[in-house]
Amino acid sequence: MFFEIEGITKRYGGLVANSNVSLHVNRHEIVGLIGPNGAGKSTLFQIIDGFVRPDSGFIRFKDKDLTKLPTSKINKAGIACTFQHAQLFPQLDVLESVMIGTYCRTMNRAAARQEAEKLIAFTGLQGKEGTLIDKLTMFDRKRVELTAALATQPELLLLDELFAGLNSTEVSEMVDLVLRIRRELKPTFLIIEHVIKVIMSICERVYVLDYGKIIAECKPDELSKNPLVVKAYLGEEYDAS
Amino acid sequence: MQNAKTEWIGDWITPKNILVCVLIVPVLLIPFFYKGGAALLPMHLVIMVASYIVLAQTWNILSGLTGMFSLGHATFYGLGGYALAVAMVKLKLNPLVGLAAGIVLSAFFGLLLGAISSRLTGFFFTISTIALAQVIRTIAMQWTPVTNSITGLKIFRPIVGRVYFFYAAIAMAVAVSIFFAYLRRSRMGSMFVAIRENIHLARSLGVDVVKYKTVSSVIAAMIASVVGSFITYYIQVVDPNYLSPIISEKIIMVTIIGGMGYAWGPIFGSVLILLEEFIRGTLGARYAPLASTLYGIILIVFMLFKPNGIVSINLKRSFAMAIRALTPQKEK
Ligand SMILES: Nc1ncnc2c1ncn2[C@@H]1O[C@H](COP(=O)(O)OP(=O)(O)OP(=O)(O)O)[C@@H](O)[C@H]1O
Ligand SMILES: [Mg+2]
Repeated sequence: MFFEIEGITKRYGGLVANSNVSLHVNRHEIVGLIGPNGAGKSTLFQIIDGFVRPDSGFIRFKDKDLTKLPTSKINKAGIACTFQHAQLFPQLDVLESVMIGTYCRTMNRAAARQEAEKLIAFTGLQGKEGTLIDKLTMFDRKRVELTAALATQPELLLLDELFAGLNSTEVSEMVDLVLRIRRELKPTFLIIEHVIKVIMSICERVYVLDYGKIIAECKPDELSKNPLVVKAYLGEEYDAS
Repeated sequence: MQNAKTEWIGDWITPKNILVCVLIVPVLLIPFFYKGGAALLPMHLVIMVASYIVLAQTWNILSGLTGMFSLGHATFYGLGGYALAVAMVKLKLNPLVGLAAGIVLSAFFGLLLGAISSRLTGFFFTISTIALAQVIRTIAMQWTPVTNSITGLKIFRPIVGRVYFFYAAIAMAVAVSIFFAYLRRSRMGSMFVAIRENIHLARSLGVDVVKYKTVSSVIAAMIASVVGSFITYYIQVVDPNYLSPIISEKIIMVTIIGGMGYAWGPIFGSVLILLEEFIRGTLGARYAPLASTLYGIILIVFMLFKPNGIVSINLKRSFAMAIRALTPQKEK
C-alpha cells in the first residue's frame, strides 16, 4: 500500500475532529477529500504532517509508520503539503523561498539554486525570482507555496484548499498546473477542496468527511447520487445537472 | 536581468560596499598619523567599536537571522572574560588555555539555549535568556574564591603595544562580518532565516528546526566568548559588569539601529559606541550611563521612522530629499 491512514481519532475537548478515519491513496492517484466546514479535513492533514498528534490510529507511507515522526522527517520521507492559509516566508524573495525546499535534498548551493530556478519556471513564476513574498498577489503566493513544496521532491502532495480565494481564470490555470505537475513530476495527490468544479475535473476518487467521520468513498460523478453526501454536503436542493 | 540573489563576488561590489571600504582606510592608518601617546585614545575607540561589531554580529546570527531574540547575550562575553582571567590568575595557565576554555564553556551554554529554544519560542525564549544571564552573573558575584566577587580579577600580562590590539580587533571585526555575510548566503543561513520567517513552513519543508537553532546559538556563543577574552586581556580586568544587562542592551541596540539581519547592520550601528566613549572622555566616567539614555532615544526614533535600521536608508533618495529641502521653494 502506498499511503494508508487507519483508525485516526482526534478529540479537542469534547469535540471529535476526526473519528476513526481510515483511507488509502494509491500511487499516482489524485484523491479528493471533501466535506462541510469544520468536518475535520484540515485536522486530518495536520495529523499526517505531524503538526498534530492523533489520540489513536496509524499513518503508513510505503509501509513505513509515520505516526510518531516529527514534521521535518515526514517531509524527508516524501510527503509535502500546502496549507489552507498560505504559509510563506514574508521577508524572503521567491527564489530563496523555493531554495529552502530544494536545500532539503541537496547540500550544494549552486545545485539548489539551479533546481529552484527550474521549478520556478515550471510553475510560471519566472521573472519574479527576486520579488519579496510580501509583494505578491494571492495567486502567486499560492504558486510559490506549491513550488516550495514541490522543491522537496515529494511523492505524496497534500493540498489544502489550494484553489480557494482564486478567481475563475486563476482556478483553471491552477488546474492546468496541477495536471502538468502530475504528468511531468508524477507525484500522488490528496486534495482538500470546496470548489466542486475542481473535484470533478481532476480527482479520480473522493472521500467525504462529515463531523469527523468518513461517510462516503466514490468516484466524483457518483457524488450527487449518494443521498448521504447530498444531505451532508451538497445540500438538499443540489441539482446534478 | 539577474535577480536579487546574484552569485558571490560580483554581487558584493556595490557602491555602498566600496564607499565603506574606502572610509575604513584612514582608520587603518591611525597609528601612523598620531605620534606617541596621542594615538592611544583613537586606537582605544577603534578597539571598542570593533569589539562591538563582533559582538553585535554574533547576536545578529542568533536573533537577526534565526529569530531567537536574546536579551542575555552578555553571558557569553562575560564567560569568555572570566574563563581567561580565572585561567591566568587562579590557575596560572597560558591565556590561550583560558580563551579555549571560554569557547568551550560558551558552546556548552549555547547548546543549553538551543535545547531551551526547542521547548520555548518567542517571548518565552527571550525570558529564559534573561534568566540564564542572571544566573551566570549571580555566580560571578557570589563565587568569591574563584571570581573575587564585585572586585573582579585583575590579570597581569607582559606589556603588549596597543597597536597589536588595534589591528587584532579590526581583523576580528572584518573576519566576523565577512563570515556573517557568507553565512547569510549559505545553505545554513537560508535554514536560519526560514526558521525566523515561518517555523511551521520551515518544518514542513524538511528543515530540522531544533538542529539549526542549536547550531546558530552555539556559533554565536563561541564567537562572543572570544571577544570577552580579548577585551579582558586588553583591559586587564574582568568584573561582573561584563555580564551586565547593559552590555546585552547595547549589543541589541547597535544591531537594531544599524539593521538587524544584515551584515552591515552591526558595522554601522557600532559606531554609536563612540558616543559613550565620547561622553566618558568629556564629562567623565560618572556620566557614561547617559549614553544608554541616548541610545534608547535613538532606538525609538529609528523604530518610528526607519524600523529596518541604517542599512535601509537609501542614500541616493535621502540626498535628493535633502537637496530639495535646502533649495528655496519658488512662490506659487
Ligand atoms: N487546535 C484546535 N483546537 C480546538 N479545536 C480545533 C482545533 N483545530 C480544529 N478544531 C476544531 O476541529 C473541527 C475541525 O476543524 P478543521 O479545521 O479540521 O475543519 P475543516 O474540515 O478543515 O473545515 P474548513 O472547510 O472550514 O477548513 C472544527 O470544529 C474546529 O473548530
Ligand atoms: Mg480546513
